[in-house]
Amino acid sequence: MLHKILFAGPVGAGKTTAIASVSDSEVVQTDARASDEVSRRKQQTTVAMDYGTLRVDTELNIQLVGTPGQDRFDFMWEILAKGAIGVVILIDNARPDPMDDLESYLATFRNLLDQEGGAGVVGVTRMDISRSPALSIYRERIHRCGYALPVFEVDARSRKDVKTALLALTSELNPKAHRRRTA
Amino acid sequence: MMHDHEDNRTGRRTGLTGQTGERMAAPVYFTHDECLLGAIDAVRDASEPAGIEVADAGRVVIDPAAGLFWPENGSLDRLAATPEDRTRIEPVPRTPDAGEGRPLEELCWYAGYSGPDGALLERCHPYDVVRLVSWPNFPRLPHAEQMLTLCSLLARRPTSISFAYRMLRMSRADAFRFYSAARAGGHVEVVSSQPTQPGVESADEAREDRDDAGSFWARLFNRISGL
Repeated sequence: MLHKILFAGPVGAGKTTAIASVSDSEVVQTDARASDEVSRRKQQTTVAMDYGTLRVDTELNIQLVGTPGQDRFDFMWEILAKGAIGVVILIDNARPDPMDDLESYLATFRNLLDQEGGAGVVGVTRMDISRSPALSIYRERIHRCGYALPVFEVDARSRKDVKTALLALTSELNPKAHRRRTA
Repeated sequence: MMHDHEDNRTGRRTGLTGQTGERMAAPVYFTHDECLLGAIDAVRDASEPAGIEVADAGRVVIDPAAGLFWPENGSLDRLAATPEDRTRIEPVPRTPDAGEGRPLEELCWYAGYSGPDGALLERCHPYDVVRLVSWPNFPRLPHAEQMLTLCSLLARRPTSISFAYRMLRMSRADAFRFYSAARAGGHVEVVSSQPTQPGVESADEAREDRDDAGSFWARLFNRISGL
């Protein structure tokens, strides 16, 4: 049985790196040489998706799917979101307008976040380079967008950080956390 | 009401009994002054940036107005567990670069987390009904993994700590440590303070799903936990 967890976010936020830090299999990357303004940030960029797996047991595998970050591939985001159980939204805190990025991705994945059994976590990357905006600002903006998602500082290279984000996502999906109202 | 129960055969006091029949040992409490929260409170009261130093444990600078702290050296775990009477507090003329400061809530979490096993921070009670107002920044904080599931529950519906740890099958010690740290860090809001057990809590919900080890969520959580 296959389930899918999406990693989404702007170019350079660390999606490919985050998947690679936890994937059981070698990550299949569909990247190409960056030719536009992205080339100032990095040489390679994802053009379709990244794919890794987490083998839970002999009966259960989780697909870890990274979306392409460039806006011109945004048509892929909705396609890749189909069938996903949750999304890890990575926001690069060193970009010019992280709040704008955050709101954009919350809007893009609204259907996934709102669906029964769907959940999301926000991971803020590159806070070692830029500490502003602070996590408290992210929480306020997420609340204003109508959500109460976990927000963490995440180093995409750190297996421990990415693991914590995934544990939070799993916790958000756990029916036990959705306590039934008593009669 | 909690009753101090006397065993009819032996006459020994056998601890506290809640109305669900569960026998619960009375919690032990620790105060702000028994951890770094005492020193942090003193700095906040003075409303001026100050350094808190502990011999052989390190130093932090705190700016209460900015809500930031800067660890300068030593171990945050050891610093956070230091009682106020072992700290030295000195005003500082200038704080370090704000861009390198960490949120003061994280230092408060460390301090609330440092209490003895099974203890609760003062003014916290096992039957308090609590709501999560913000997720702690877990990748940068000491924590037990089940605390994340506890956060998900408390974010969705105000729940008593006592009920929550039984329903989630987490240890009472971890639940109390979470509550103390989260209260210190400002991550929870007390909806209803309950110094004594208020009435009959539904034992049925706490008992449901006892055997969920094979569930999809448990398997996924355990797999990710093993990363």
